[in-house]
Amino acid sequence: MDENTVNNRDEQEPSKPSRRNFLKNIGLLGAGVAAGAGALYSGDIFEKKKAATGESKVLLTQDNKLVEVDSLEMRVLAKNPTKLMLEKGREGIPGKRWVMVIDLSKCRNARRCIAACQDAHQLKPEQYHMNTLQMQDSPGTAPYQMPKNCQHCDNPPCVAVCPVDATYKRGDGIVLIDNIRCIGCRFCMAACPYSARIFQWTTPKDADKHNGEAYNVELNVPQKLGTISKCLFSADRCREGKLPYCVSACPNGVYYFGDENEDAVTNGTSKETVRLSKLLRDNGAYQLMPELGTKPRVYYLPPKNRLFPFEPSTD
Amino acid sequence: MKRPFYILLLIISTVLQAEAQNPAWIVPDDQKGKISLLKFTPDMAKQGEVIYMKNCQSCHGIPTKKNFAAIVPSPGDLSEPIVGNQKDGELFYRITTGKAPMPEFRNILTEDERWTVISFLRSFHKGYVQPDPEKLAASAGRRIKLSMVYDTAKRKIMVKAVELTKEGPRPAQGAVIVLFVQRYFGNMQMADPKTTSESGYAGFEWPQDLPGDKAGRVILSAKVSDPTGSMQEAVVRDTLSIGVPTDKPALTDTRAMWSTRDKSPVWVILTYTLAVIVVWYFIIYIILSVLDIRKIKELNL
Repeated sequence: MDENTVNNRDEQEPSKPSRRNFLKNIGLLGAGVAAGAGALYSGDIFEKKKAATGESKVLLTQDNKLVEVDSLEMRVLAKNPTKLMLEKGREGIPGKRWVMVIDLSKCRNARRCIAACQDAHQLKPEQYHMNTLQMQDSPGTAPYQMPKNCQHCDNPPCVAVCPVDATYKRGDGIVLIDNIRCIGCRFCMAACPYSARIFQWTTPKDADKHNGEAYNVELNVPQKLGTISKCLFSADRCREGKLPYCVSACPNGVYYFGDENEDAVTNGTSKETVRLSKLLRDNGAYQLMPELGTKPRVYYLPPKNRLFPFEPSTD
Repeated sequence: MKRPFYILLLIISTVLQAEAQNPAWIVPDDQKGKISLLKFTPDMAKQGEVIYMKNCQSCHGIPTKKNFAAIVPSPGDLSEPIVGNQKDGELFYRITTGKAPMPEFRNILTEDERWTVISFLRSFHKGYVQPDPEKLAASAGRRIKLSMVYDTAKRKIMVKAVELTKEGPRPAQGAVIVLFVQRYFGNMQMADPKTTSESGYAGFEWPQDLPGDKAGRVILSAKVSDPTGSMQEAVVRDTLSIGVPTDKPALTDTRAMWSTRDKSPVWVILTYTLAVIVVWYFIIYIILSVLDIRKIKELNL
C-alpha cells in the first residue's frame, strides 16, 4: 500500500506549480487566443466581403422613405404582418385631416364608385360601403341621387359605444375597424345615425380564396364573418398619396377629396385641385344631420344646376 | 321579311339619334397644327402603352382587339383609320379637353405623357409619318426660362419670363403663365393665368390665408401655358415661406368622450375613481362591522 502511495506521489510531482509550467501554460493560452482572434477576424472579413457582393434592393420603409439595402443584410422580421399592419393602422398620417366633398349636381348614378369600392374591399354586390340613395326632400321638390358613405365624424358615436376598442378614430380623422378585436355586438351599427355600417352575416365574398391572407386593417380585408365593415376613406391609398378608390373611379366629377389642413381638395375625375373653403362657401355646402353634433368630415354641395336628368335606379 | 327591315330601321334611328344628341367634336384650327417636340420611338410607344392601359383601356379597349366599352357615344377602337387619319394636334386636343363621357386629361397627364400615348396609338396606324419635330423646334417654339420671387410690399408672386434667343436673353412679353401651389393630391392653380408684361413679369396676387407647412413653407411652380405651341414648355419650382404656418394637433390629441381611456375627459376619470373608492369604502366598512360583531360575541363568552 505504502509503495503505491509513494508511486502516486512520484506521478503527481511534475504537475506541482512551478515557474516553468506557469510560463508554458501562459504561452499556450496566448497562442490559443491569437489563433481564435485571427479566426474571428478573418470570418468578419469574409462576412463583409459576402455583403459587398450581395445584390442591393430598393425598399419602402414604413415612414415612406425609399432606401437601398443589401440583400444579404436584410433580415425578415419575425413579427406577424397582420400585427405590423394593425400597429400602423392605429396611427394616422401626421399633420393630415382628410375631408370629402360630394357634388350632388354631378351625380347621375353611374355607380362606378360603388363597383370600385366593392372590388377593393372584397364586398358582395349587395354590401355597400358607399351607396347612391334616391332622395326627394319633399313632394314638391326634384329628386336627386345622393352618394352616401361613412361620414368619419369628429365626434363619432360608434367609437364611443364600442366595448372592446375595435373601432377607433385616428389622428388624421379616419374612423377604422379592427376586425380581429371586433366581437360582432353591433352596438356601433345601432349608434351610427348615418347607417354607414354593414355586418357580415354570411360568409364573406371569396372567403376560400383569401383564407390565410394577412389581415389589412386599412382595407378591412380579408373580410371576417360576424364582424362589422364600413367605408375607410381608403386609408391605404391616402398613405400612398393616391385618391380613394371611389373618388378616382367616378366618371362624372362628383367627388373631391383632400386635406383640411392644406385647405385643398382634389377632384377625382379631372384631378383639378381647388381651395376647400372657397368651394364650400361658393356652393352653399352642408353636412348630414349636423344637429346631432357628430361633426362629419363629409360635405355635400346641393343638387343645383344639375348636369344630368334624374333617372330612377333599375336595381 | 318586314321584321328585319324594322329592326334595321330601329338601329339606324337609334344611331342617328345618338349622333344628334352628341354634336360633332370640332377641334379649333389653331390646335390642329400642334405637333410633338419628341420623336416617336418604339421605346416611347412602350411607355405610352403603360399610360394607355391605366387611363384609356377601360373604355377604348386594347387597340386592334375591338374590345371597347359598350357606351354611347361609342369610344371605338383607336387603331381604326378614323383615328389614324387625324392630325397629331387633333388627337392631342381631344385627349386634353375630353368631351363627356370622355374625361379631360388636362390635369391628369402631362403634355409629354399625352404625346407618349399618341406615339403608342401611332404604332397601330399604317402609313403614318411623323412631322419632323426638329424643323418645328427650329421655326417656332421660343425657348423660355422662368424664375419667381415674392414681392412683400405688393403681396404678389412675380414670375419673370426670359426668352433665350441667339442674341442672348431678353424679357419675354406675352407669355401666358400659370401658377400652381403643391398640395397632397396634386397641384392647385392659383388665380387665373396671367400674361407677362413688356418687362417679362407676371404678377399673381398671393392669398394671405393659404396654409403652408409647419414653418409656413409652400412649394410653388409656374409654367408657360401655350396651346399654340409657339413657346416651349417651361417650368420653375420654388419653395417660399409665405404660407400660414400650420401645425394642427391630431384629432385624437384632445380629450373626448369617445376617445380611449387615457384620452377621456378629466371629469369622467375623477367621477369614476371617486365612485369606485366610495363603493370599496362601504364594502370594507361592512366587512369590518361584521368582524366587530364576532368580537362582541367572543367577549360575551
